[in-house]
Amino acid sequence: MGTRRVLLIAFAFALLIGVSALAQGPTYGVGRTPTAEEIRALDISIGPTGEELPPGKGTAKEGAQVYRAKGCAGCHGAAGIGGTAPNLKSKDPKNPDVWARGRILPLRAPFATTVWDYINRGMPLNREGR
Amino acid sequence: MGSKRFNRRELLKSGATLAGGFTLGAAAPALGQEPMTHASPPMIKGDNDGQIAYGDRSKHVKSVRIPHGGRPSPDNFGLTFHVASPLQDSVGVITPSSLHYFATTRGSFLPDIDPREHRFMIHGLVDRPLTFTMEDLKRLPSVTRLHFIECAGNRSSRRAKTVQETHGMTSCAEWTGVLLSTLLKECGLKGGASWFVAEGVEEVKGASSMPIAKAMDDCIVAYGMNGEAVRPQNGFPLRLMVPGFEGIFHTKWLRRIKIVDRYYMNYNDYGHLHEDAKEKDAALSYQIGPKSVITFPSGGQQLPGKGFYEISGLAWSGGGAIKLVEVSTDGGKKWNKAEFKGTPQRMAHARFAYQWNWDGNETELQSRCTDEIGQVQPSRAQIASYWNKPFDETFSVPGLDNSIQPWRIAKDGSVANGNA
Repeated sequence: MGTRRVLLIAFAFALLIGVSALAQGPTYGVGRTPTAEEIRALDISIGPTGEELPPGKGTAKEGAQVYRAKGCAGCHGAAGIGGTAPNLKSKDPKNPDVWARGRILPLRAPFATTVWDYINRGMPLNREGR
Repeated sequence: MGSKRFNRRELLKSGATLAGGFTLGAAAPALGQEPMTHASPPMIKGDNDGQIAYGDRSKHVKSVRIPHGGRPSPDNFGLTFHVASPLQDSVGVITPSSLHYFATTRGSFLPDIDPREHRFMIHGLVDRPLTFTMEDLKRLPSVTRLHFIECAGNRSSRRAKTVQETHGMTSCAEWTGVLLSTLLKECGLKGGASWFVAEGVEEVKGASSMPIAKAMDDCIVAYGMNGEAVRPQNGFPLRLMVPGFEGIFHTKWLRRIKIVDRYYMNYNDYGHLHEDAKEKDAALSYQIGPKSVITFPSGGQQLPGKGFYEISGLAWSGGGAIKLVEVSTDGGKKWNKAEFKGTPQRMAHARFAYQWNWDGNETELQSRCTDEIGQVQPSRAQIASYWNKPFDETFSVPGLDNSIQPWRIAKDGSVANGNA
């Protein structure tokens, strides 16, 4: 505890006098810097701000068309319920308690980006990410 | 009486009908030990891979993993789901790689990765994004540590019969790799770097958000497991070890870590939103609580008769090393300090034992542990009271289940799940 405190004080002091030597370079020099293009190709993470989302827009109506066109209904049911794959709608839609509705991704996910990200990375079965 | 004794003798001879028959046979000299003979066993010629190139275990050892929770693995699509380790047969603290439990995010095929092609990239809020080959990683300073992994779904239930069913979704191995902190220092963290997202290669590319403090503390980018390459089902060629955190965070087939400034709320993260007992809001859970279980004698096993037994079990915690294990042989009335076999390591299984003379009467065995930060393993009744729920036959532990496991010993020596 004492050492940590001394270190903290030393660190604060170093900041005050602006010691640029604190910025560290690589120690081992092992590994390669990926190009911006390589990073773009691999980076499929979508955070809740949506800043990584590709440009695009849509309505619920268009979404329903995509749901049919992409074959989602085949496993999740025509209305998003009762298929062989997990339900996308609640069996008890009037119950306002989100925990009572079970683990249904589009209902419990707190951000639309979570749903978009999952479909993008994990759907459809056996053709993921395509 | 005479016929009973004869039956037991038959059981001992047939061995296979008894779980762990070899130990039980040795423990019961009074119950009809076979006369010693010096007959030679059949001899196997050392002429195939099983004896020379990559050693097989004895054909007499039958201990195997089983699909967990009633879901077939592989299923009709060939996807594997959760597979549990045979803890009832375990000795020591290392789970053999072939018996190490594994789980998949939603059912998964097994990525067949050529390690020469595999790349691991760190990017996001860093000064220098870096891509590493497996060769690169093996050049860097390494650590070798014993760590358990446990699936958040590892829970006892009234239906479960054996310790494999109640607790088999945890295992402990010796992991070798590079500390994630070593790699992150090589990249240089930018201000604002507060979370990281780890991603694997499987179909869903499981992605979990974790605090950067954990990355800088003890996470390992592991390529070694029990002295050889990490096994495919455990993430070959590379997996992230996040000591003490739930199994799902230990990202297998690791290909990418993105350093970010907020909780990313990916699919795996969403799965970690739980109802909290005290708050009406969502709660995050990461760390496995203090937990222990007696593996011998345990559900489905058969004690051949009264007399001496070394009770043996495993204890672990996400909070650090196990400091104390206590064993009760009278259903939780009196607690006795157990001994450790070896020194308990941080976030690793610790093997404990307690020497017991069974008087032949019906009783119940329990174990409970305390970790190095003072957390004590709770009973199911205590958990029910925390959640303000009635403790009756309908009770099941919400969230992570680290409850005390009772094993009931019947007069005939049969062992059954005390929660049933």
